[in-house]
Amino acid sequence: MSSHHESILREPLITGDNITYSKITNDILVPVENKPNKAWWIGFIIASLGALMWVFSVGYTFWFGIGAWGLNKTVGWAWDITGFVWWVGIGHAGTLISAVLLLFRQNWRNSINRSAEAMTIFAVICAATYVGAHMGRVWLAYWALPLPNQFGSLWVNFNSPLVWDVFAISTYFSVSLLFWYTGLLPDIATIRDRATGLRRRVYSILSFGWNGSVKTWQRFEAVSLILAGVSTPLVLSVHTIVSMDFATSVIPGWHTTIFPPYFVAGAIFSGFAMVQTLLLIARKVMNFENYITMFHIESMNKIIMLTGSIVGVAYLTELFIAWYSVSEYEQYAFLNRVSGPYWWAYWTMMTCNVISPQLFWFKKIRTSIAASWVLSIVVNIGMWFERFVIIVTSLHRDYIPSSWAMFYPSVIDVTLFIGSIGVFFTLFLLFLRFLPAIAMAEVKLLVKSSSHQEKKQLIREDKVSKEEAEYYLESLNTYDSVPESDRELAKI
Amino acid sequence: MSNTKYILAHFDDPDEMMYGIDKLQENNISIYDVFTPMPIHGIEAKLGIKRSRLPIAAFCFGITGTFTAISMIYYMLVYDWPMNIGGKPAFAMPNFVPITFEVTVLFCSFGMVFTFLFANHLFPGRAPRVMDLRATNDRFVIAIDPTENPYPDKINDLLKEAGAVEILHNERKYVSYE
Amino acid sequence: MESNKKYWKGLEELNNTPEFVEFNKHEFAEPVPIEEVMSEAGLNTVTPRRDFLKALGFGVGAVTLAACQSTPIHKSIPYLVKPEEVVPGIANYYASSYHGQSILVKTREGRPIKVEGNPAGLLGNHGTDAQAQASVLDLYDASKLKGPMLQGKAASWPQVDAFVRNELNKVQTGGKKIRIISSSINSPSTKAVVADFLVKYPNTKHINVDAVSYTGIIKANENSFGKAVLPRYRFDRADVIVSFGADFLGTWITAEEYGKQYISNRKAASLKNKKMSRHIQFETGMSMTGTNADSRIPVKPSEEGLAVLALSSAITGSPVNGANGIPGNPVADTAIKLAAKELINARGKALVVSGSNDVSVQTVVNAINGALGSYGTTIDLDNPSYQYAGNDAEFAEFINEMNRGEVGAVFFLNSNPAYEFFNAKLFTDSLAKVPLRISFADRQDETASLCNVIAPNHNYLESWGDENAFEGYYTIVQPTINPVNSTRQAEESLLLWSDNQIKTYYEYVRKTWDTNILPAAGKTWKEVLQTGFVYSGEKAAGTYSVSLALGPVTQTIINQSKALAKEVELHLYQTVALRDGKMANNAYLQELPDPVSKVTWDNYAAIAPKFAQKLGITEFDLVEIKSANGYSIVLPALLQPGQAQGTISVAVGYGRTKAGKAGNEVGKNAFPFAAFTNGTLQYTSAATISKTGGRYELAQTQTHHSYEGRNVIRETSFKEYSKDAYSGSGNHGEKHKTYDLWNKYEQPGHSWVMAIDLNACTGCGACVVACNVENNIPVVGRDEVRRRRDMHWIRIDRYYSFNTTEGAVTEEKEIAHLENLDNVSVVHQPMLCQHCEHAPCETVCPVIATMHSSEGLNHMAYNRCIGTRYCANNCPYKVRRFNWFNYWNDSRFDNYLNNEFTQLVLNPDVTSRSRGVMEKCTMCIHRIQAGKLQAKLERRPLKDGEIQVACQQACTTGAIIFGDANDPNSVVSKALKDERTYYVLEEINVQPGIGYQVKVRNTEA
Repeated sequence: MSSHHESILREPLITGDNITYSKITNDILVPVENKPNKAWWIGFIIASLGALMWVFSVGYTFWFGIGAWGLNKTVGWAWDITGFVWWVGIGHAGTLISAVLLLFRQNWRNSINRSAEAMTIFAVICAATYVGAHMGRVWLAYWALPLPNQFGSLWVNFNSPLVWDVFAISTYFSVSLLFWYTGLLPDIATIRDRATGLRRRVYSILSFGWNGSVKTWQRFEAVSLILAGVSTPLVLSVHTIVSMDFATSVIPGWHTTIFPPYFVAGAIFSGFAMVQTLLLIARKVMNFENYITMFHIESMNKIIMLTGSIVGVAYLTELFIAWYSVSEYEQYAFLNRVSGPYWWAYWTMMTCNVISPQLFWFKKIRTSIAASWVLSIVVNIGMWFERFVIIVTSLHRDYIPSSWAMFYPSVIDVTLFIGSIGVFFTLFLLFLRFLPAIAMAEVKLLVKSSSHQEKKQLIREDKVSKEEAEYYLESLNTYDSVPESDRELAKI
Repeated sequence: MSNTKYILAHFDDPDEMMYGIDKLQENNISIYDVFTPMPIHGIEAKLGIKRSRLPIAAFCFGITGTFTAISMIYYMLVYDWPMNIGGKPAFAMPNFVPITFEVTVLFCSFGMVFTFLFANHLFPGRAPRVMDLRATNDRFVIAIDPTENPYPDKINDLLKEAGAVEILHNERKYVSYE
Repeated sequence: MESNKKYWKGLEELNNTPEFVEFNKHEFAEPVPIEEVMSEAGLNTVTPRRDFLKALGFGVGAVTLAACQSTPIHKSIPYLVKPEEVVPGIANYYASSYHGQSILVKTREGRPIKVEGNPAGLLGNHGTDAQAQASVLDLYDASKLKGPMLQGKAASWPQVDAFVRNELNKVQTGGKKIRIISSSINSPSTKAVVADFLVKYPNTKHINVDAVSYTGIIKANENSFGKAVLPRYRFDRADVIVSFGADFLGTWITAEEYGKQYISNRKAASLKNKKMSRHIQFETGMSMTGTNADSRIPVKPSEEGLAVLALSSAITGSPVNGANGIPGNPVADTAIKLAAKELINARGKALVVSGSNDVSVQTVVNAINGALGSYGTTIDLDNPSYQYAGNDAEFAEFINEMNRGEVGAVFFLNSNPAYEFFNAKLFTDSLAKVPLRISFADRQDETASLCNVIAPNHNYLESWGDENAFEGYYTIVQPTINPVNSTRQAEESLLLWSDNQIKTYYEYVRKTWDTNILPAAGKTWKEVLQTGFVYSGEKAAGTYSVSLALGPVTQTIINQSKALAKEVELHLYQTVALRDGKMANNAYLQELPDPVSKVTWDNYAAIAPKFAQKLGITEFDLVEIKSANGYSIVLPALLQPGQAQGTISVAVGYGRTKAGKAGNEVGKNAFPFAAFTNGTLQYTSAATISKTGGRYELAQTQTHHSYEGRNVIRETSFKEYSKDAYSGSGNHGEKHKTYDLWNKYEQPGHSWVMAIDLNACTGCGACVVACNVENNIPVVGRDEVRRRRDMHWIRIDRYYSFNTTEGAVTEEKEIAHLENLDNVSVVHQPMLCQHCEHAPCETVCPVIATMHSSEGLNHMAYNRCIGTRYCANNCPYKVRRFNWFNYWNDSRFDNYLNNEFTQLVLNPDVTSRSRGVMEKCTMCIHRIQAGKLQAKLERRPLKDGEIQVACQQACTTGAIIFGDANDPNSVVSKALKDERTYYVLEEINVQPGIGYQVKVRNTEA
């Protein structure tokens, strides 16, 4: 029966004492089954105020026209598409965590994938709102779909990256939703069976009548695996396609073959940063320390550092290629990014995206919760600026100098962006309130294999060598959820 | 005893439950079903459940998507109304790859998930066929049909031995959600 | 044959049951309970619930249906009595004339909607200037008076007539003077009317006065040759042109005619036979003419006179006493000497002009031209121009008369001294002393609002009339629409008030022509109405030379220069768009970017960058300009390369206070800076300038001024060109190749392309306005232009490059390090949709709102556009325009189309775009279609040049050529085979459909 046990050398994924299956359920369902605490209410009120601001800004734009924004004849996209790409990018972590990490059998994903996926869905919703809002005649948005229409054979242009976007984003959104909800079924069933009255009825409907029978679980796992399989290329394709909005154009600074990989890396980068931002708070507020451990935080920081470095390489490659191309337009475009009127945006981007993640080389910073949180925010700021730099500094000075212009955001530009963040958090907080933020069923899988108490058990029973045991306890030093007492061999 | 619908053996440890299953099977006691709060690996082998054919379904749906996409694009841009768009040929295949891929994924995932739901009779508002409420929480429940195995005492003993924490003889098939 | 079939109502009928027989008696099978209903009970029965619900249901349903009313209905009234010449959908053209130029007015369903030059006409052939193009908008100006006004209140014409007659009689009996103040009148009929008026009221005098006066030249000619006329300049006959501050391509006398003449010696045709005129410009502010000069030397106003003197002494060889070159400006000094050489070599083919209104300066210029033998060749005194006849002295005298209270009545005809006269205060004060003040202005302008009678004149599109731009050239003005408001032709009013036996001005014009003009020309009235003009041909131009001694004038010039030479010298000029400000309420003109500064909707203080640096002034700083006469205004500063150091240039024609919705309070009035010296108005003055601390961003359509050394612009010098015609062009023309990855699309029918000759484009902007009018392009107003949202489909890019000893500097970062920014050369490049074969915009549109036609056009389907703006982003030329707002009915853009009346100017052939839609140049596809249709109806192939696009048609110099590339003999295909042809951004292989021709400068290098 010790077959479950993984190597003692691995850090535990669940800490805390007398972890039982019921304890896990209880811990995780605390926010769902009880009245929300003050922290939640404060957060929710602020967030929904933001959402209201979004409603106002969008309403204003629709009423008067896109002129409400700071755009002009030269810079036709700015904060709108910047926001769109930013949100889509953020929306990449969830599916990536649940899909790619599942394929790679990274068990630590089990405790973060649920909220990451939720975040994905909400981020993509925000992105989609931008796609709609930026249209001059949004009431005709459905024309972008290949629908039969009264105009006879009037179809869409499948050559246009925007149409690719329509397909990519909608596919990505619906598939993520599917993936997320399938995963939710067993947990909803759990809530259902603990609830009473109306809540039971509601959750009963939501649970689709799940009963954990053998066949159900078997098929469930098959589905999860295949969904992971198709979602992985999907995730990569989505940001690839978003990058093609620019890569397939003729504008110097956009017309770049490096964009697909570079955008995907950027997406993972910002996505993980956002997961970090959210989970570090959720973990504290909802006392999930035992399930989202230092190991999770550190692993995510490592990924952030890696992708950050990839993005950095991409930036430098761009500069090199611009110089190497000997195309005066390319060269000027990048010279202008670095030293033009928007130099500050470029260097903000560089600092936030390339330099700041390098701090994670230090274990101290990597394992400091405060530092991780701050840096995760810094990274997201940087990623916003990356998109701004790509879009605005490329457009504002392209081929014909007579048309060169500056872009200055209008008030609506700003409120719309802040508003979209409000929308995002409103949705996320509602999610925390009504659905389990951690996949209970999947965490339960880990109890036997990789929980601290099991490992302690092994040590007690002298099933492991002394060195290994010490090495293991050594690794716990960074854990904020493991008491001193548990770190000394003697005391165990 | 005759009106016992099911015998439910509660375990709070999957390993013990597996052990229980072995025990029962050694004594040729057929197991109706097992309900667990989490997937138990290796259990389908024990209970002799065939490998799921969902992957095949997924593949078929995917292929359908691919062809749907290509034929749709071909019909719309090449057959129905070819146009000179930026001097490119009407059937500019490279441009159509992304959408073809997306539609493939879309069909594949939706098709498969709906097959899954259909196969397990899962749909919104379906009355859950749950025998014990804790089966979705922290109990691993083996259900035995007494009509097929008409010797409850023996079963009780075996299960106790295997470490069942609780053995119920339900007179009602499923938990009522009313 | 009639059928005898019998149909039964049912079996009952067949076997004829008694019940059936019984029923059949009644109308209805079942008895109707009519009595029951009619009886008390029937009416009083309470409605059962079901019935009530039925009724309710019906009611709701009916109301819902009734509410399904489509959008509000605009009632339109069809022709009750259809004029036979009007066919809905077919345009009529009427010959008329504007500012002495013969034009064709296009009317649709009785509305004039476009003005085109009369191809046969003489001033500026088929082209027109921006004003003419925009003038049609004035007809629909909502700020005009709806009817006459008496003592500031609306009145009827009879009341006005009665009042005026009575008053005039009083004046007559009181022996007081009557004065008719008008801007120069060259109309024979109007002159005759005035003459008749004089007969009735002998103590009347007609005074011509122009806002921007040319009295100096007229007087000088009088002094020198005894001919008080504006000569007709012949730039087409000049090989070497030296201009002292005369903006003869932009605003000077008949600029569009000069432009045509000037370019004829510089465009492709003339270059082909290795001929190009040389043009040297000495001026203060950078004028449009300056931008076209081969070499341009900035001189201060105070140095201008000296320069002229220096030139004359250099040419005549006799040093003028007291004048020794231009001490302050060695560059100009040497330039003068070189210019003198070139002029002498080109004797007989040389022309020297000066924009100064100073008699002495013009006298010296006359002497120079005399010495160069220009009279009879490049200057024609015997076929003089009658465009301007203003007499400053007479007007000054008139003010004195008013002050002395001698004037009993004054008429203002197309003249607005309260705004235009430099000493408006003096004028208004003295005007107050005149009992009867009558204005013929079409609106309550600055002067009219001081008058006790406003008898609004017709718009020229509503009136009969005639003009005589220059000797022997008579053009007819005929109405193209019935008077819109209750206005009356000014001349008609005069006829009535002077009890002329001819009551209508039409008859009067007929009489004048029948008696004076037609016989001489041997034409009939009908013919004239069709052709629009008669020309009796040129008289032989005699040669003249100046005999009188230049001593005294020299002295005045030197004194003048001394008086001017302060640390800051102010120079007034007219903008190409607004000129003297009479059309200030014309939104098209207000939004037409200045050819040089690209500023719209404002005037400004142009300062040389280095000088500004010295004064610590940065761009858009508000500065206060105070002139010698104490007048001061606050204007934003604009750093203008090429502006003479130590000078500021300010445009007149702005700062109207009573022009109308669009024109009021736009910029500041600079007329008061002018001064009356030596008997003429002078548009220069010593001034002081000081920062006020404020900032004011000017609305420019272009904010980056160098072309960064990109081969978007390709230039060469005439020397190089004569050596190798391909020089600078990158060797294209017939060698031009394009590459495709895939099979090229066939263009079996036509392939519409365009050729633009950078050497022929003077940058005047007539094409821009023409395009606006033709394609219903909205005017967006100052704020939107500031946000860089101007909607012009065709724009004229203007680039500065700076000439140094190491050659031209075009890149921003290098320019920043230059010490001397005076030697600037300029290129104008019309930029519009290039209709690329591989259009980047088409590929990216998600909804195929823009795609390629089989005739090589890049189509834009407004109705399909959802406004993602992707196409505009992906356009390398940035020529696509987005409707950010509903410009045509959004109260925030209330300077133009926001009323149904003005919307009558819209061209019905072109849809007006809603907000959220992308738009761009269509190559006037409606004209292409019309042309093809016409050819088809006449069962003949399309002729080359039959279809003209609006910009091409408006271009006086013929810089724009449009046509079919599939026709090897078409003008455009030939032009595109020219050695100078190149394609902008061809290296990115979007395969533009518009070929440009290298700019050639006749410079040494």
